[in-house]
Amino acid sequence: MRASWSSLRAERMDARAARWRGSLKPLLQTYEVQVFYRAPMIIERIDPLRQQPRVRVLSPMLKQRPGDAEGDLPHVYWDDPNCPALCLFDHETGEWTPFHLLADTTIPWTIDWLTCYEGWRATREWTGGGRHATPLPSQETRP
Amino acid sequence: MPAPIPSQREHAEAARRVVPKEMSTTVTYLTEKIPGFDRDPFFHPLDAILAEIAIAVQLPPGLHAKARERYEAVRTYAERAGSPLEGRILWFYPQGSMAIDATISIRGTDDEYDLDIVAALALAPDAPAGEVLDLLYNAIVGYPTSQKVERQTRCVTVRYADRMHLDITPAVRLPHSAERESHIFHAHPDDPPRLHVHVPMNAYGFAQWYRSRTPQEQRFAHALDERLRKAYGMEVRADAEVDEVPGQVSLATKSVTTVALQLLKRFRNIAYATRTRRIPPSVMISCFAGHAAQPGLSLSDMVIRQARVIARELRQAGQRRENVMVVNPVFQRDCFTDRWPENLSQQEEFAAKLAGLADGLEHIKRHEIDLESLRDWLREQFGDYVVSGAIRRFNQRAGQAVQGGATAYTPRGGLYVPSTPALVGLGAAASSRAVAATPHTFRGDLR
Repeated sequence: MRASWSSLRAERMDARAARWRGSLKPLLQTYEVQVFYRAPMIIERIDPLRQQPRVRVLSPMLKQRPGDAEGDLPHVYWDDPNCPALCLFDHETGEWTPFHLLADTTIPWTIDWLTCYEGWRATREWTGGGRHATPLPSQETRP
Repeated sequence: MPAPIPSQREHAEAARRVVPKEMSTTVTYLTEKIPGFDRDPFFHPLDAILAEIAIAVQLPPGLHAKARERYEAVRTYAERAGSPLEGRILWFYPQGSMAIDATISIRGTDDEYDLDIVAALALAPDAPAGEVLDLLYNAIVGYPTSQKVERQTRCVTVRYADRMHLDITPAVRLPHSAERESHIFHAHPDDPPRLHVHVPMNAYGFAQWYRSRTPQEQRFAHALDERLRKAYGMEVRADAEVDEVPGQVSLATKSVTTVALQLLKRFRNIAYATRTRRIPPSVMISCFAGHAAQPGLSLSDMVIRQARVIARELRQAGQRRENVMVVNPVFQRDCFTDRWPENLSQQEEFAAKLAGLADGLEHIKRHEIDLESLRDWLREQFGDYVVSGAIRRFNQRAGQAVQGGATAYTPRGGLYVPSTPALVGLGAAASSRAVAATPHTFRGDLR
């Protein structure tokens, strides 16, 4: 992760979990983000929906647009109404599994999401595609 | 909160602090660079959006050729048998913005275009001004268009149903002079002949001077051409290499200087949208742009540079308690500022507006701003309609790249949407740290 994303700093939480914090600047605005990931145990069944890394935007706070056809805030999991997790991939199609590197998937997809979010705010159009469904099951312990 | 745009006072202080000398404005603001990506003229989002704005305000593809067909048709009509100008027309040639490929929509509109043509006539250069204008008017007045042909103070206007106007200015070549040094004729129909004057001009020479100062910048022109085609729904060759001469006919033979000039003219049109008096003339701005030309700058840096050069010149004249005087670089008697400014306050007002534009752009490049706030600020500078369209196209382009996995990323989390697919490989090859994009599908709850 450090080799690819110099602005992110890791904090080890326990033997299987880590958290990265740092800044990403997709266009002209810098966002402070947090990525939490708990690696599944080898005996666990692979479940990308449950095991996926949780990405949250810490600042600036994401702006909602109530009543928008794409939702108040498109493509997030409302597990925390004040700081929802971004939904970056389709867990049903194998786009991400625990065998993928976060540096190659989660972070660039977060940049993609932030870009589309800014575009949605500016034009009311979410141009990044995607589909809506499936609440995120609880897994992460919020710091 | 979005980053605030600085106040006028902050503008001035920042300008003094950051730009002590005019020519030091050629700063590269990117905080990081990946070798290869920065060769893309639209690497920086602000440059990409400014290019989209310029595309929205400039003459659409095809209309330049249509204008040429139209003025040739007018010429044919004007020299028909029995016309007052039969046998007296030497040339029709473009002048002004059309001659330097810098046409934009006229003030107060988003899709109307004035195109300036010179009618070089075989008359005496000291012929009475009113009579020359009347002669051209009488030769054209019956020309079949949807609206009445109009005689103006210095030209005759032919209007078309698609809202194009041709302003045809009669000119007579001066004897024993350089190529196409001429007189044009100033005669308000309501003024007595003693107020009519002959005005020296060499529009042809100026256009040649401007073009020699602003050679096409190939990579920029290629990237602009590709965006222009997309904006107008024209076919784009996806496999076009950056350095090759495009196999398709290029729509944009543009330098960064000329596109920046178009943006400055648009800014002026918006800033003076409600004014009825004369506004800073395009030819003066074009002349400053030619003097400020410097290949290799980004589009935003060139807009800043031109704005600062003009503001500085206006203010220096103001400090001397003089109206600025700008003359044709190839014909000193051709004064571009003979009708504006009328007083010192007009030129200071324009200088302040330009400084505000430059300060705002610098602020955006140095600080934080989200796309929504940028949109709002750009709307104030360049108009709601064109900026909304430019942001929409920028957003669609980014979304298509995200969906197609055609993006690349900088190590500090920047998204790069290449002007051409070839540049993604260029950047990735040049930097081992570059992360390749992979397609993915956003999901999430709908609330």
